[in-house]
Amino acid sequence: MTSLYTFAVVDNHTDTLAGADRQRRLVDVGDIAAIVEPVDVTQFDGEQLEHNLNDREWLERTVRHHEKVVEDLLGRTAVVPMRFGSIFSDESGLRAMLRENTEAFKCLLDRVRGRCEWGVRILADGEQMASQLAPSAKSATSGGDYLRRRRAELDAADQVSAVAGRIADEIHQALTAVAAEATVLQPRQPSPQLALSGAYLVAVADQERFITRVNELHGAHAGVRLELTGPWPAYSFISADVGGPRR
Amino acid sequence: MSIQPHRTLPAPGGASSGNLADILERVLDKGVVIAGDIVINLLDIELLTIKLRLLIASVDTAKEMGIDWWQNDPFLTGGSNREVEEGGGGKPPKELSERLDRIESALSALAARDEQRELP
Repeated sequence: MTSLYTFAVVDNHTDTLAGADRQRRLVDVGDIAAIVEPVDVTQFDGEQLEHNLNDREWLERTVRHHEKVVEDLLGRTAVVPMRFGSIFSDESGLRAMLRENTEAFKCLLDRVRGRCEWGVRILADGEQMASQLAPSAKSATSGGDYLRRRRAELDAADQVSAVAGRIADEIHQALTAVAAEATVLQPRQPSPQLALSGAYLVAVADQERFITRVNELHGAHAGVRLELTGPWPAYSFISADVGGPRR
Repeated sequence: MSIQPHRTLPAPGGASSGNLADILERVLDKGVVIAGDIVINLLDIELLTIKLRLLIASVDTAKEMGIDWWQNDPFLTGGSNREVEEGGGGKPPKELSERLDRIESALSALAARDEQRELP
């Protein structure tokens, strides 16, 4: 009995896996199919999992592989990614799950079909923004002037995060207007520069328009820059829980 | 205004050659979650996600700040699964998650404080 690592659920096309590794295969149930590979499940279990999570090499290899397999499907078919580490103990369990949840998966597939996710991080350089709001105290001509300028500098520093937040919201709204769906991501890495991290589900036909918009907004505000990543599978728009097969 | 254009537009091949942090941000706690006949049970998946988040937060930020207590915290390292299971139900991951949120807020605050200029 082989355990199956399940990467994604896709439309059931025969050519979805053309050119893919031989280990990888489709487990299909009517209109939908799961992309799977046999996996040594012990690496995901108990103490071994604890050990592996502390092994950066294992973590990077495993996460990159998950992402690569899902991403290779982009452009070939609609792709609904599964949660990292979704492993079925055997094929019959996986088939039962797919049969049980066919309608839910079809809805998710319809939602992402012909669309890709793009990520935009809006970064605000506090010092640069503050210097726009108040001249530097270092260029003061007298002691009194220095204190006045220094006070203005400190006031400006206080205003920066509010200003950055307002600009980030404006940018997010502008990008949302070009996207089919949008969401604000919770940042994984705390960063004082990160004003907003957005994910945008964009129709393939609108992609160029979206990228153009990002470039226009990048540099439109002093001290604010945008970082664009993508195209991604629609990870940030698929957070659904579906039920497992009944036993 | 002199802002250099900066964007991480992917090569036509896609995003997988991107940096690990970007990939982790996308992959780790997203995607369809299945209940049922799955080898890793849901509790483990939640724990896995939380630990991974801690690990990622730690790599770039926490360690630099000397915050690595979690490596020695018995609740988060070896034996945590057993403790959690004895606690029963899905509650402990939520507690962990809240705790993690507090840690992350604290980290943000620390980082923000470092950024601020001192008063003369």
